[in-house]
Amino acid sequence: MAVPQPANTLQGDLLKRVLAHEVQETPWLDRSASKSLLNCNGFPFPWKGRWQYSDFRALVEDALSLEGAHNALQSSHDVDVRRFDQPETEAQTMEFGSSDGVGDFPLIDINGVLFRSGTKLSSIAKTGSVKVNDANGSVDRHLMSIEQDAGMTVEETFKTGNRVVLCHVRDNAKLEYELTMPHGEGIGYHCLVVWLAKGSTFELHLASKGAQVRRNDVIVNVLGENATATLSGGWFVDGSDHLDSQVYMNHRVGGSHSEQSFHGVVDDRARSVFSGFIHIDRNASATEAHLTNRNIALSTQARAHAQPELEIYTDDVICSHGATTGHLDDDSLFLLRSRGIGEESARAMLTKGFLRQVVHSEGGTSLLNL
Amino acid sequence: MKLLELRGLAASVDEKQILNGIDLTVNAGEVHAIMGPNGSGKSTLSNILGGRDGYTVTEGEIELMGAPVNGMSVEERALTGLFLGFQHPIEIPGVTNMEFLKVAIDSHRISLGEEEMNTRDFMVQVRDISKRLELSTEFLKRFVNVGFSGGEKKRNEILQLMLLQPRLAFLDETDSGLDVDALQVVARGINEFRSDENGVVLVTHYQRLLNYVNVDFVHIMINGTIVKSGDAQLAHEVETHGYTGLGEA
Ligand SMILES: Nc1ncnc2c1ncn2[C@@H]1O[C@H](COP(=O)(O)OP(=O)(O)OP(=O)(O)O)[C@@H](O)[C@H]1O
Ligand SMILES: [Mg+2]
Repeated sequence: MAVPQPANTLQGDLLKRVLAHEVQETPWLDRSASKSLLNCNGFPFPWKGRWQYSDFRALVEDALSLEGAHNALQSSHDVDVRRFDQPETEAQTMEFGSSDGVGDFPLIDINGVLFRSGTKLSSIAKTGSVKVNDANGSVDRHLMSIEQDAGMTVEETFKTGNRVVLCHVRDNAKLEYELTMPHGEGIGYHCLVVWLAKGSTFELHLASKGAQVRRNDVIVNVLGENATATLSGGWFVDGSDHLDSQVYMNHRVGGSHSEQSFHGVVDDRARSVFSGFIHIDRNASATEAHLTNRNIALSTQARAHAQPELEIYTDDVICSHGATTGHLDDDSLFLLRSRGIGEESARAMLTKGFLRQVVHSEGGTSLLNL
Repeated sequence: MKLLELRGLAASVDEKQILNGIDLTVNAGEVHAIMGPNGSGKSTLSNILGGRDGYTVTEGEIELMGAPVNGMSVEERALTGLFLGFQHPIEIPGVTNMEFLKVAIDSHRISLGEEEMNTRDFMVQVRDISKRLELSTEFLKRFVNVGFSGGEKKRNEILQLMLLQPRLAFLDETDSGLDVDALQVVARGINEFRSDENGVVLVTHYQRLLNYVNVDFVHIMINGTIVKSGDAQLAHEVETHGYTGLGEA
């Protein structure tokens, strides 16, 4: 998906316009942190590095012309909720714009400069739960804090727009996150950033269809001992859709454990990208990190691109990492057909079976028709 | 009625010639056993009958239920009444045994112009067969063959056989890897299945299966061809003397 070189100057112009932009409705919010980060990270050149697969200029253009706020929070239970788009005294002092330490993710900074609505949630109960709806093409940002020993379940639906969700999971707290992404007609950028403190637990259940263009980043920073992250998910991308999923698992301290399994299916002329990045710090000894990503292409024109990346700076780790791309298993297909099951049904059964291994949430099961 | 007829069947796998002229006729009501050393082509014959990709008939003919199989897909052969019991039943993660069996039986019914099987009737029937095969109904909820022991996988093959009620069953080493009790259970399944209407071909390495299942014919296959045919007595001879002296010079 390389874009011709002259686009470079366009992006310079776009960057300037983002930096100069003021969201009229929220003058009380200080966006200077995001602006300076964006200024130093620059705009995501579509043909470079981790941004090479998707082009988000149209998404940014759309965001610049947005007006009004969009409330995505549907309901909550046992959770304290503050909205950013209302001029509360507390909201003014809230440090919600900062995504410090996340690294080179310019779309997070763009979100910080342009977001028009959002919420700050905190759970002190064991059983907090929230439902978050689609951003509907808008730009929003949610800050979640699961306090010490607390628990929270998030059921989020996202199709299009630019959304950043920043989650702090404090000591011994638990976050269970069901992220369901139905087909989207437009462009979408979704980024979930999670910081895990000592003894905390994070579970992600992802299920996704494609969109015209969708990028889905999950960034997990393991900051405390005995923290556990379990990420699983599946996607089915068809038509001419495009889904670019990237997971960054950063083990900053030792004695932590992460497990990831993602299965992807591409059909028709669709394209999927999966980039699974595991980073283990020098002092993160006794870390265990596993990742598998399997992809199946159902048609000859569909493309699934998988790339594993490992950065390990200590010897004392147990780490496994595998990514494959292939077709439905011939032996399985033969078995089903030899029992009288037509080829098309047999393929559908195997495709479902492939996704069922990693999709367990109710929302995901119904989205992918499993 | 002729359920299967092979006339001078020669076949190759990935361009390697494996079967070198097989003549065999299986009529309704008959049980045949095929024995032969490792690599003689028994499983290849099963795949050829099933119409598997990569397996090519190079000479001769195959007729199923009196009609040539040329151009028939894998599922069409199954729907005319062919059943293959696999030597190494494979695992299908993510697909439960129950839905697999239901879709399979419904495919057969739909091809006969019948309605899909009512779920309750299906459950009653599948539970009944499981019980007869001493297979816990737990296995129905599990993914196809995933985590099943070798013996459980083979019993699962017989479960499929008994549910689908084919005209011709080609069972490739269904008795291998079974303990004595499991062997008796599997043999009982085969005996319950066999009738004047259908036919069975048992591929086996051991005469012991024939202690439990009465066979009408025994064929010895060596290097992709049947070198000798006889009755059950032939299996005893193989058991005592091995295959030496039976092969073509
Ligand atoms: N895909 C293949 N490519 C090349 N050779 C093959 C292939 N599949 C099977 N063969 C060869 O064909 C021959 C017959 O194999 P087959 O599995 O039919 O033997 P078999 O009689 O079933 O043996 P066993 O008793 O061990 O099950 C063997 O030499 C085997 O290596
Ligand atoms: Mg064999």
